Amino acid sequence: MVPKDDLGTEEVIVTRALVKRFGSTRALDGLDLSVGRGQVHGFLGPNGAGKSTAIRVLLGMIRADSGESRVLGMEPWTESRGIHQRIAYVPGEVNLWPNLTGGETLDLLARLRGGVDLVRRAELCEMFDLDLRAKGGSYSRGNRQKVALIAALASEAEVYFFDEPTAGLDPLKEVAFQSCVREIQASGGTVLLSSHILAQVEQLADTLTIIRNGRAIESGSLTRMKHLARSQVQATVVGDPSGLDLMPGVHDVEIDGERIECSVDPDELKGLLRWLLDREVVDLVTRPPTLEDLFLREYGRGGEE
Amino acid sequence: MNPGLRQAFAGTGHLVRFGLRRDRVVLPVSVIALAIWILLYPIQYEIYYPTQVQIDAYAAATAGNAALEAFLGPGRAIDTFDGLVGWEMGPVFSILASLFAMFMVVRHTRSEEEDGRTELLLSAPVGRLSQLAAAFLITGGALLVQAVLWWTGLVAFGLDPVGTTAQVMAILGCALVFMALTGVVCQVVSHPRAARGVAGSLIGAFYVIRGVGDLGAGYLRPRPGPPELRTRLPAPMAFAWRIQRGALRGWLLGLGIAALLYGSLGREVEALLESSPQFTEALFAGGEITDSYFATMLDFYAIVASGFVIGSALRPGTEEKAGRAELVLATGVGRVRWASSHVLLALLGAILLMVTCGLLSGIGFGLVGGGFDRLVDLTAAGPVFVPAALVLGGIAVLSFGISPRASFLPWVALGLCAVVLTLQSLSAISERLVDLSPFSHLPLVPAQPIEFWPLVWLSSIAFALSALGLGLWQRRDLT
Repeated sequence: MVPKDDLGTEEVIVTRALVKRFGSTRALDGLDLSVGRGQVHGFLGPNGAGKSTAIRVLLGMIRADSGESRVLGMEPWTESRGIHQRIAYVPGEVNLWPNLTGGETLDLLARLRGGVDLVRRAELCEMFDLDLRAKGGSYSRGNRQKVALIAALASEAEVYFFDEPTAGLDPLKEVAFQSCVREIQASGGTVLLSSHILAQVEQLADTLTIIRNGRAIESGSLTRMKHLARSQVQATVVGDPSGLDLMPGVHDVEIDGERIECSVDPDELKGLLRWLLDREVVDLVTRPPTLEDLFLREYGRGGEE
Repeated sequence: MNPGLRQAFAGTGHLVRFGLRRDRVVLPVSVIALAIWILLYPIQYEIYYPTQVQIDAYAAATAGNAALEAFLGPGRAIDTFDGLVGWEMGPVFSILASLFAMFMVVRHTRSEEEDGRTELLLSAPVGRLSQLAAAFLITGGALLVQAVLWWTGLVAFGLDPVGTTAQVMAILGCALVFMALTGVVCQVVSHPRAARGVAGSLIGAFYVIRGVGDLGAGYLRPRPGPPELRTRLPAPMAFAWRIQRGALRGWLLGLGIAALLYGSLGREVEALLESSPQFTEALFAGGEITDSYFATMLDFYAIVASGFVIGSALRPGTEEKAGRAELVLATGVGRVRWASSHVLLALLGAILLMVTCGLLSGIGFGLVGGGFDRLVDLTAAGPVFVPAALVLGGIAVLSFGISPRASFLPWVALGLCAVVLTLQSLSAISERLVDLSPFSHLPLVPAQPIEFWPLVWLSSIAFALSALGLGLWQRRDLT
């Protein structure tokens, strides 16, 4: 039985109340996660929030203490091989064999997998500009990451797990990675993209889970999430702008003569616009909420880090 | 000191303290182990050659023997007990101390760099030369302490203080040269493994130069390699073979050369043994004395070859420690299937190594005129010793099944087996302890008739340990 979510899309990755302890620390503390087929799902959180632990549980590398999880309808710990044959994974920290060349490494990984698309792989090597003759030991962090990325992207998987995939890549290669993810998306593949870089997730993800201290604190579509964050408003008005700070849902008000600057809750934007219309507006700039704002808001809450 | 220099060495003291703290277990253990080891020489030879008559016989048997001189250098004053001990001990300890110096320097420079700790340190107020300086200070200090311990032990045993001073200084000087040389190598090559390889080869090369007198030296530098995999083996065997073939070649070369050289000594053994009935008794396993010699040597090669077996069987744990296991396992190869390929390679490698040892022993013996009629028996005798090595391999599998942090266990077991092998001939340890070593239960072919029963149960133990280890490995979290 493949689980379905509320909208009836197939849930490719799902966890319910997942708990993983390491000694006395709870790396995962009741994590709920749901990724539908064909989605690029951002998995956001600072270092140590439990992103990698969650991925390692989903891949059957470690066993959860309690809770449930399924990948492609299979139980990660008992059916890990079945899962591995249909997924591709780029670990957060890629270590390679110092005396194997990049080409040999790719061939070995491909052979273990039982074959990859060689034409595609050649394209990827060109795209990421990887020297196949250099030995693993002479690769920089970025180059090691490229080897793992190329191995994963050439593998024709159904689900891709990327754990901080571009941490060592230069901006050009990051663009190449983004176009690869869009291709996966276009061909119906599913991606779980863990990152602490908001801009990256913002550009790629359809849906998003924010994790903190091993627990999902926010989850949903990117559009919906953005509604949770405040827009920034800058305006110059003729006349006395006082009273702005009394408006409901308006925060961080700064008044400098006729120039005003504030942030506003998504639900109260309408009210602020009405207030502005009652005055003469000389100029108006609004900036939509970025994930950065959302993220800061979520992390500002609760105080503990 | 001018300010520039002072800056280059800034923080050296801190690094020394930090390094010593990090090595607070490894360093004392290795220093004490070497001190005990060196004392085994006079202890052993006093048992073998208790009287001057026997020492004279030994000197007469070995005088002018080119093969022995190639190993140990020209014999000087070997008609005295001190001279005899010094002759046997000097080269071995020059190499051991040099290896010690090499490992210490690599450990405190290149390994640190690869682990990324150097950059962490260099970003602190630490000079660019401080790390190397600290590595030299720690290594040099440890060598000095060792030299003092050796000197004290040997003189306390009753060796001549002046001669012992010269001997210890010679060994110390040799080790210090290699310490400095390793420091240079570490700046030239970029990886700890490569650094150890180059420095180790240099030690080997100088040893050979000393013995042979001439050798063309090559210059090693990291080169690019092939852009694709060149083996038709099916996965995951291709994988195990590719990452271990270098190691297997190294072991084959080392053990092969040893077997060939020691095989060529087979004819001298008889004369040598006549000089010491005690030695003969310790070595004698039955049949002709030459067969006893080869059986003992094969037993010894099997202990050495166990090093390969352990390293190979431990490989999945090593990969896990190095953070590479997940990349491999996520391909869907399956934990047990992947680990089994390494265990299988350990088994095949052990057989290959021991067949080679037997074969080359026979060839070496034949080449010096001993006749080739032993060739087939010796080649067949080699693999008889494999099951004992496999037991150690089984312990290796069990250890990483428990945790990659338990990977020291098989090495400790190997150390104990080596100690038992050395000491049992001296009748210095209890039967029970001797029985613990799997090597004690092997039929000493070709001196003794082959018995299949011990081979069967040793192999069964190895199999059971491996199966248990793989079962645990399947059921535990990766680290």
